Amino acid sequence: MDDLLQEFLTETNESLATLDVELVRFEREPSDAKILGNIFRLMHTIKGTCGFLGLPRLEAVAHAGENVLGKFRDGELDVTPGAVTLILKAIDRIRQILSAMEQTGAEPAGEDSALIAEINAMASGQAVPEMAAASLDDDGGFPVAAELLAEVAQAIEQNPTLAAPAPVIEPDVKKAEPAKANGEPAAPAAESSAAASSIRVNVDVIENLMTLISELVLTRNQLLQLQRGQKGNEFKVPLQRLSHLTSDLQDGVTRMRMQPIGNAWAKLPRIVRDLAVETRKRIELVMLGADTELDRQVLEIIKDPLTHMVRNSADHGIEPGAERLAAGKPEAGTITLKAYHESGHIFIRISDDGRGLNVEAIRRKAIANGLVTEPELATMSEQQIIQFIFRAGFSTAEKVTSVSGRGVGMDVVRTNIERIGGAIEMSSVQGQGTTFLIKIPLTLAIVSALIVEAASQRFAIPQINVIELVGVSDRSDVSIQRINNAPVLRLRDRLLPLVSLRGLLNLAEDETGAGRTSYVVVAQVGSAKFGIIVDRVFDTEEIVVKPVAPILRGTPFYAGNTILGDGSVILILDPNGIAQAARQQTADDGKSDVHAAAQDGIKDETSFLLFGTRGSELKAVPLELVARLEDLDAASIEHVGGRHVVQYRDHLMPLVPFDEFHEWPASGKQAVLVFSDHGRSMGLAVDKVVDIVRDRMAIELSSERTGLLGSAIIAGKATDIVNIGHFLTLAFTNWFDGAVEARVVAQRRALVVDDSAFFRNLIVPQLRAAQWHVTSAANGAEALRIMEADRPFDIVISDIEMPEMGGLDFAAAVRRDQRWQGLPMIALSSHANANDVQQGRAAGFDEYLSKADQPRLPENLARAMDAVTQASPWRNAS
Amino acid sequence: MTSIYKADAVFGDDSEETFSVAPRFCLIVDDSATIRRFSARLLNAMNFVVGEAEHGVAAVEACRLVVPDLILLDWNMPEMDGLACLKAVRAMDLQPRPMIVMCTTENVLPKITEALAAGADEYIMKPFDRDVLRDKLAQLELI
Amino acid sequence: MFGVPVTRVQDILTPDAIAPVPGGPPEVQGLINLRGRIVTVIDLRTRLGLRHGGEERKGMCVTVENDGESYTLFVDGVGDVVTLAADTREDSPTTLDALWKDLSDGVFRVNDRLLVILDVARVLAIRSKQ
Repeated sequence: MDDLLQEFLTETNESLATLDVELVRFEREPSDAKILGNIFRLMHTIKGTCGFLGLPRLEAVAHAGENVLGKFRDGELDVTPGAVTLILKAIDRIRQILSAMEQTGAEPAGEDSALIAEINAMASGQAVPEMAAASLDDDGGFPVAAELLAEVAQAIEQNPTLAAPAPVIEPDVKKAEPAKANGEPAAPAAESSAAASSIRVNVDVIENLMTLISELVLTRNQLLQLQRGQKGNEFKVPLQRLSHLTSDLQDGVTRMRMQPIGNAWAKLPRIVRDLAVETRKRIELVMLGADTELDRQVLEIIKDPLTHMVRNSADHGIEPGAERLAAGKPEAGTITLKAYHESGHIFIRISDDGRGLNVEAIRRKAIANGLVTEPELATMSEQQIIQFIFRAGFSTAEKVTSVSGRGVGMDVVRTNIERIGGAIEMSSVQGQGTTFLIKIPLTLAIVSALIVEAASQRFAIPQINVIELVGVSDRSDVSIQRINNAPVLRLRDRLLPLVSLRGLLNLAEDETGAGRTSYVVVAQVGSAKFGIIVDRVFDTEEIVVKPVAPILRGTPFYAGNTILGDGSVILILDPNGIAQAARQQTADDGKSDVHAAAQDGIKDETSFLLFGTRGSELKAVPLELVARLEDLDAASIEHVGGRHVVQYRDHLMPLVPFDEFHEWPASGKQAVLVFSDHGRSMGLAVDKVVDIVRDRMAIELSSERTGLLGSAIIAGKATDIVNIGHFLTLAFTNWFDGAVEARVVAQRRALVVDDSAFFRNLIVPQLRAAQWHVTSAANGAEALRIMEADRPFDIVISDIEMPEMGGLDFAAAVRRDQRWQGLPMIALSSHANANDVQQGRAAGFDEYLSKADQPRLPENLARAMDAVTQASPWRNAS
Repeated sequence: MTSIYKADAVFGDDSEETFSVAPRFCLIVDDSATIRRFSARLLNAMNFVVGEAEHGVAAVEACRLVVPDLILLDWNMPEMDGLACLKAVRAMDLQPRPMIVMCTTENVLPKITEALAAGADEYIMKPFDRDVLRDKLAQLELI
Repeated sequence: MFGVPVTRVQDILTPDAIAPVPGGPPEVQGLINLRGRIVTVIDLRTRLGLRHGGEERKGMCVTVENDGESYTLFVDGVGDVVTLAADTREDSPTTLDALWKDLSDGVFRVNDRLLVILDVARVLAIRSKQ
């Protein structure tokens, strides 16, 4: 086909895609002149270009659209859903014509007068039948029906068709034969820098290039390895250069294949918007992480499943406004798409706050389809039952709408995702919404990985997962402690749960005796860290990640496999999978659940340290708060001025006994839990450390005894939860200067902002105990970022003195945003005189509390939270 | 001596025109790649070597590199529109002074007057074909 | 004796080093590097329910392709390629081990010995741990 025409098709299709997105944006912000200007210019350019090429149909449709946009711009026409729908229809029509042109090279025969008449009628302010009404009346919402109805209405009202399209001049392009062999005119020497900033390349060409580059990388690795064996020869420098060049080449080509996932999401705003208009619902689409990149092949494969799922959400998931209001939800439903990289995979989360899956309907359908029997169903949990939607031929949609096709085709979705080595999970709560999580391996990616060894077998861990590497041995400062047989590592102020790679993979046990050095690879999963114990650590290498064979997909530990420079095949570890598997294993072995601490950031469970005190039952304290466990020499404890202290790491650390029954040993050891914050430490003297367990914070708060938050059933036993604040105050009266009432509220979301990790770890368990879902941030800037990205919060509790952005600035920023005008905000600060309070209130805080009144802090906080959340009508509004 | 420039004559005649004059340089400024390409073909056939710019900012940059003999300037563009670009280019005081032809879709007198006052030499209505362009360039004595 | 249709076989080789996959299904002996590709090694003995002793085993790898993926079957040894008349194929005898019957596509009698023809797709249909 003619080059010029091809260029035109490409350019115009791209413009149409942009128009789609911009129009939907404009509909929401009709006062934004910039967006309108952009839209108008795009449409104008399309019209102009059509004129040049002698494409009358296209020019006419574009002109009609441009006309309406002009009226918007001049304020002569209101921006209504009806008007926008019409323009979108014009765009669709143009797209249709273009599509036909791609096949034949010429404008297809066809009639647009009905559409143009409609658009012109709208432009001149005449009534046009509402699109939505037309679609809903006939079961199935066929767009054509609406158009026909409009046509009929036109005929009846006998409206004259307005404005003929601009006169078309037939340029010579019509007579042109396809360009001759000596093609394009030579590019002039002084070509403008702004011409064509992208080119199109055949996919196969890129594939070949990728393969070649991979081979090059491996060969280079082999060369490097060979060269390492020989010192200082003339190959070293050139080889280094070769290495750099190869790396750069590799980067470039890999990037060529990667595209931002936003490309797959581009059409979604329009789809959701059209669906919302058609079904008369209000739906918000939130897209996070649109610039997350993934391989283009993968993008192609998941594009349709994603669209399918979003359609399902919009069509079946989100309820009509009235139903939502009746259920206490905001009128507009929200569909959230979130994409991110983690552990060498791409995660895409699609969630909505709609009605969730109808478990009853699924139950019935499952039985009707013969997939399961009644007795079997009885043993299954709700989450297990809803997994049936992934079976073939399963659809529980009450009505098949043309909107999302045959209800759910989730089996196809799952198959497609698994074909590329991915996985899809789903959870749903009736009345609250549904969430899908897609996990896709980064295929054909070359990543940096740390090579480690356990039991003489080597493995690779992707560099991005490795936070730190720690060498441990019996001799060194850093050693592995065991609590009830589960290994933990003291890492600065925290206890790090550990997993032994040997143990996990059931490899041979360590034969050699103690004194050997082993290594702990500190990995991060979600927001929690844990360590993997390995025997040896080698270099970091560049590896080509290949997905594991389908047969091995059930094994959770591996994120892929690769061939090293020496030709050996090694498996790539997936820290996420390891953390999960470790958890499972300890549950099976009945060992202490320390490993599960790695999941802290992911679920609403907390790790507790259990300790025994003389004269009473087991007590528990949240593990996060504990800096260290020490077994102090009784002889080193001094009794000074009525207090017990000990020389600890260059300063004098106060020791506080748990209760009055505590007997300080004259000799031997004293077990102490050390708490640290901002350089100060305090030791709580206990009888013995018993265990570390993990459980949901389902605390029954009670105010019977000082020093206790309440009690909970932990690992099957009733255990008192200690209020550390109380002991801290005993140690330092100004640490910050309880009796807590029991309260049960519905789970709501709180954001705690404070730069003191210690303080956060103090407040958070208390809030969790009161059934809040808590997220924390270290300063105002981080808090704002979190608020942007996360689901809405019901309350914000913030410190004032913080780095980067303090509480007053933070509050002001929050109040400036119209989304968060009514969001309850409480300030918690060590400074709380009248002036501070006034400043805080002026900045936007609803309540201002003092941290100094520590014993009553929990109570005060709870009361304040009650007051502000009840006063405002704020309820998780979007 | 004569220099011979063979142009890629795509439109109309099959005869290959040869020119006895050195080609001139035209800068085409338009946000549509299609229109740029189209115009380039027309101009090539008229003994022009062509440069392209997507918008005003790029056009100004291009002028810094090479002074064009002719600039075809569209009105509606992102970043910097036609009128602003016209003013900017004139402010550069390029020597020899390039001819600037505004390409406009609207025959709106105030706009045309404004352009001419700001330094445009001529204006041409879009869409134009070979003949219209030829006539206009002849008027300007460029061909 | 077992046989596979020669059309399914991509190549035969003596394996260098097989990297084990801890935590994987028992039938998966490990992974090998086959000219730059990573291929899964299926221990045919285990798959067929036959015992084997000890770690080090000598054997050969028969590479087959199934559903777009390559696998290699670790066997004790490889014999000849034989051409057998299709009409001499018999159904698996009822006395044949149940698992073998499941994985096989019939039998041939060759020189008084029973040659069990394996169905490659079914042999490879090892359910991965979910």
